[in-house]
Amino acid sequence: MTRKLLRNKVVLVTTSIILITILIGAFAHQIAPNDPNEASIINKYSRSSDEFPLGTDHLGRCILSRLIYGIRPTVFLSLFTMLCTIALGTLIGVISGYSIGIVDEVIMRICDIMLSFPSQVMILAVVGMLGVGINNVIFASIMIKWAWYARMIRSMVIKYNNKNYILYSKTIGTSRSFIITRHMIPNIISEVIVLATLDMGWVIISISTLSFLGLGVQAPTAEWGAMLSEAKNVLSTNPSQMLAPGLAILIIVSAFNLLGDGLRDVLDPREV
Amino acid sequence: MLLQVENVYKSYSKSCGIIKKEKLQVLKGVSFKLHRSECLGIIGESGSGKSTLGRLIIGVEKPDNGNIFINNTNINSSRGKSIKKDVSVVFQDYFSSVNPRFKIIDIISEPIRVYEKLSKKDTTLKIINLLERVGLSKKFLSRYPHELSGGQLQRVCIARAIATKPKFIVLDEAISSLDVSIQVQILDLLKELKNDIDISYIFITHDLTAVTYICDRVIFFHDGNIVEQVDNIEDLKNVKNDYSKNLLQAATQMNVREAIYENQRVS
Ligand SMILES: Nc1ncnc2c1ncn2[C@@H]1O[C@H](COP(=O)(O)OP(=O)(O)O)[C@@H](O)[C@H]1O
Ligand SMILES: [Mg+2]
Repeated sequence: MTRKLLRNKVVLVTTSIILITILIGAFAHQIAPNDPNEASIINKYSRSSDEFPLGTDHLGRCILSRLIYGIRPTVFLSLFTMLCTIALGTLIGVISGYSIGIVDEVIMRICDIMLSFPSQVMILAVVGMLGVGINNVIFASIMIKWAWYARMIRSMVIKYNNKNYILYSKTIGTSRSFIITRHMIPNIISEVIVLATLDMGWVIISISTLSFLGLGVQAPTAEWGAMLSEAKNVLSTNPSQMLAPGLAILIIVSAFNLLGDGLRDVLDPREV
Repeated sequence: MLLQVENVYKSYSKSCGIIKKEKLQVLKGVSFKLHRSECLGIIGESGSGKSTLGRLIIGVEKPDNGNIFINNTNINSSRGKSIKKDVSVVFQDYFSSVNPRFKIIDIISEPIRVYEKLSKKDTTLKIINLLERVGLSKKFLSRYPHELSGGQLQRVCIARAIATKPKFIVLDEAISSLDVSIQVQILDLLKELKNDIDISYIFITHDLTAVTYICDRVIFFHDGNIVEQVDNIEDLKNVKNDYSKNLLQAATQMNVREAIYENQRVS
């Protein structure tokens, strides 16, 4: 499996991009050349120089440092959101898939209700109710997405439970733990990982969008969507301000999407 | 008595709309017996409930009514676990019968692991032995299911089925998805195994030709009921029930096909 992962160039390149991004974010203190929040009005909109490799923004803050510190809210919070969503979705999906009758029915109807609202509108509604702030944005994203995963995982549990090889295992009396750990989990995990990776791009864009709209991460904290939002105010005079945060979002979202596609190929057992 | 099925009923609830549920009666009072070292054919058109009956016998589903005894133990009683060793199963869809993430060696070691505490080396030896029994060499050990042909994979399923030394195997359309020439090979393999080890088969099929080729007794199954039993395969032509007659008529070309079978076996 690992050999197959390493042989796939797309997976290799995108994982490296993501891992390097995460490392840079984790060691932002050591790597960033300047304090991301240190404004100096004299230096605003300066071009790239030794002191400010990517120049400065409208308050004279180092753009590169802000990008690097921006990894934390953008990527880390997205990852955290995704993990919580999957954990909640898996728990409820497994309960629903294994129980027949009323419990399953109730859970599925709740999922139907959650899924019947357009997700961005739902997030805006939840943020509107709970107030502006990144915590509420994350909470809203999880509330929107868990139903989708719960439904997915429920159908996987039912699908694999009716596979002939599991019927065989039950026939000869294989232990339940063997069936779950060797048959169910590997199959379900590899499907969920692909979906989750593809979904990461959506979460990153969602959090950035809400920060862009001023609902998520609040100034002066550096966040890519919020940086874009500040840059758009000077779009006509200094269009190059959009470049750095825009490209950063583009690269990381593409990396996650391509990784999802690559993983789909690698994790398919039929793929040689 | 190896297997005794007593007046078994089974229905599924079919949901129409959100609240309304309709009952679909699939088995309507089925009773029969299976003796040692015999092959019992169950033949019926598709949708008649044969697979459902198979699932009840292997104990993955429970009957609504009626009892199933294996070696005089009710399989749905508290002692039902102990007879799981005596039953095994081979399905029609060989590809979904094996975990696609398992190598052949892992597939066959699953049943061995359940009933025997063997060392890794002994397990491998036993698996090689089983593979040879079903006509496969040990070069298949570390292959994945998608690297095998349908006939080879079905042989792996048979090897896995006999690994626990069961008293009988339920073969649910086990040869129906294979090419005719491969069907004969598998039938011959099953016959050979039956001679070598003391084992019975429940051979579920919709194909009368295969029944005449391998079975000792035949049950005609229609719409959840047993409509006729033939205790001696030689008497097959004297069936009285209309449904069985129709089935028989539909298979009049079977002699032609049987000739083909014989030819292919010789060649
Ligand atoms: N799990 C199930 N839920 C609902 N209906 C089922 C289920 N399994 C089988 N049936 C129904 O039972 C009938 C008999 O099916 P089956 O036993 O597969 O027939 P056969 O194997 O003879 O073709 C079919 O009408 C089928 O739709
Ligand atoms: Mg069937």
